[in-house]
Amino acid sequence: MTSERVIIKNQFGLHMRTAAIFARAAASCRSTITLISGDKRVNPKSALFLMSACVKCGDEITLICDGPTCEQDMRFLLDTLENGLSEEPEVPK
Amino acid sequence: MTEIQAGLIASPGIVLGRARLLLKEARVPADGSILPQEAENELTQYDLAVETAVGDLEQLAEKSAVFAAYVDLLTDFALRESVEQNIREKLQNVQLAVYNAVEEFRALFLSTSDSYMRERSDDLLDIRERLLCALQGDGEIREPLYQEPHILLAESLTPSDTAGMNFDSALGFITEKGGVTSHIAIIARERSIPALVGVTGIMQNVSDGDFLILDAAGGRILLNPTPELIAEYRQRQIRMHREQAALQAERAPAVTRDGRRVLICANAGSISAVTRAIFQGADGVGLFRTEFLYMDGDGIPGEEEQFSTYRESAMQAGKEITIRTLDVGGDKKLSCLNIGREENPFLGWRGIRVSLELREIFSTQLRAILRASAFGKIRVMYPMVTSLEELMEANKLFEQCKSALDQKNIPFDRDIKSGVMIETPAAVILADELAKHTDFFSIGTNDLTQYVLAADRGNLKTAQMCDPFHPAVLRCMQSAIRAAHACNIKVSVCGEIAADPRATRILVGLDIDELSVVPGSVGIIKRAVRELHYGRSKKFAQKLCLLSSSSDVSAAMADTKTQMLPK
Repeated sequence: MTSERVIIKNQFGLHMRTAAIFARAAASCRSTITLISGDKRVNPKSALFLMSACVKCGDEITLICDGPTCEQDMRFLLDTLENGLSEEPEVPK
Repeated sequence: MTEIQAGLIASPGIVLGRARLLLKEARVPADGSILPQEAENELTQYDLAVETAVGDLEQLAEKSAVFAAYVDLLTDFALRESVEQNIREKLQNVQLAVYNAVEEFRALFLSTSDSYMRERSDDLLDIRERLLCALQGDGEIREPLYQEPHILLAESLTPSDTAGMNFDSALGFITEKGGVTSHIAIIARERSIPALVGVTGIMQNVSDGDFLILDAAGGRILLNPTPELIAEYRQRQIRMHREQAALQAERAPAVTRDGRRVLICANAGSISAVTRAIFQGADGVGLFRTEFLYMDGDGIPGEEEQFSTYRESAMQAGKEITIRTLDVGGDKKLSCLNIGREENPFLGWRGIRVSLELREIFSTQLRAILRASAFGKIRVMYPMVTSLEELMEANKLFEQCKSALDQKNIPFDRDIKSGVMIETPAAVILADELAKHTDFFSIGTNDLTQYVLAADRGNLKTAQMCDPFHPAVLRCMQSAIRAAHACNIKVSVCGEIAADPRATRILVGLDIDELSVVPGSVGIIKRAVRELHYGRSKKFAQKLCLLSSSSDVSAAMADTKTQMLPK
């Protein structure tokens, strides 16, 4: 089992679009995954559960992966958070 | 004629036209409970409905991230679990099970304090419609929308509503629900279509075919307006278009006639000033003053509070923002810092001196700035530097702060640049040394002028002597800029002179890379730069720097035949 703390960098955090992308990534992992944000613990394989956690920009979350592939799953998820949530500007400046 | 005060301006502008109402009836789930042995069949129907709905979205999902997200929501296992539970345990038929499951999630989103998340509850309505449509076997759910130009009114306009829309005929949008981050607001802004949202009850007040004026500038709707009002608004509409076009042109980069680009940034001392600056077309924030954080009377601001402010400022700016570390002194006192009475506050304990002595406070500020650099392009700048030792010490502390963050795995921009303010004679004289150990200069001409001319501009007897066009000051700037460029680093000017259009020619001619001005002057200075010829400005500036008196400089500035003042 591995556990990592990450700070969310996306401007709007894990809202609908980015939650969906991350949930899809999490769902593709064999490990059991838990995401902790504040006092909320959710299964991030569901975009709906993830959205209900209201993870915002700057929030620190804890990711836990459990299972035989937990190491590579964690790396994959961290990479997704770092690089895979490409954001089109939602609110044009 | 009726006037309706509108809810929120989602997208600005003025349009006049015929109202067309989009009436949608939310699907109602079929009534009735099931027998336990029918549960399996109901669940299968759900899976088939999901497949259908996803198939309908395939095309749209390729082009739009919103619809791609809808596909993910439709296939969300949490939704399925909830539907399954309703079918098996509560013996609800599949339509009712779907209706209630979605309702549960909607309630969850509506209960958060995050307004953005609350609006996502409407996305769930869209998804529910699609599922119920697939379950009720209706096929096409889109009614054809109107083809002639019209103002569209609806209770809400979801991504599905606008998916097939012909925006060419949409003059404007008015919805009863929604906020400024709802989908229709975003689309309206992207397409520059005026829109008002949150106009409760409008569907009751307007009939299909009514002529109305949508004033999404003042925030009102005029129903069946008088001919006079129509004429007045048409004029305003024309004016707005002209102003918007002019503003677009103004916000473009400032480039001289012979192609030299000068960054015109803005000074700001608060987050709202940053927003104003960017609205005025600033290429960035050239000077972000941080004193306001220390002045609200609550004592020294903590790292979290500072981090949050710097991050928001950087995100509001969307462009490079240069944060100046705490710059206080005998004249700019702080209640939380004991500076005490000084005989000569301008020559006293101020600027970087205070920070280097109060290292904890300095480190806190630096760490907050570093953390914020993960969210936007930030540069750091040290004020009142008078020696190489000060710069080296500040650099060392900056590196220590970076290490401390690294140890805790807290991200920051590894390429973050730090620079110094050139505002003292010592800094000008040592500019070549300083340039080797820093990433950029920013010339603070207000203080530089005072120190170089040994004159207090707050003193009535000496205020006149504080002439920023004094040859001594010009030569100082020239020298500092040369020293910087010799080391390949850039220079900006952030004093009052930067906002003086008479000075633009000289500053550009002295090879300045960036000017940072009050937000209101961004447009004027950009225009001034566009009128210039860099090559000729160079010659002019060089000539000025060889003159020996203020009066010679004034004469040269007034005399020139190619003098061009912005209109």
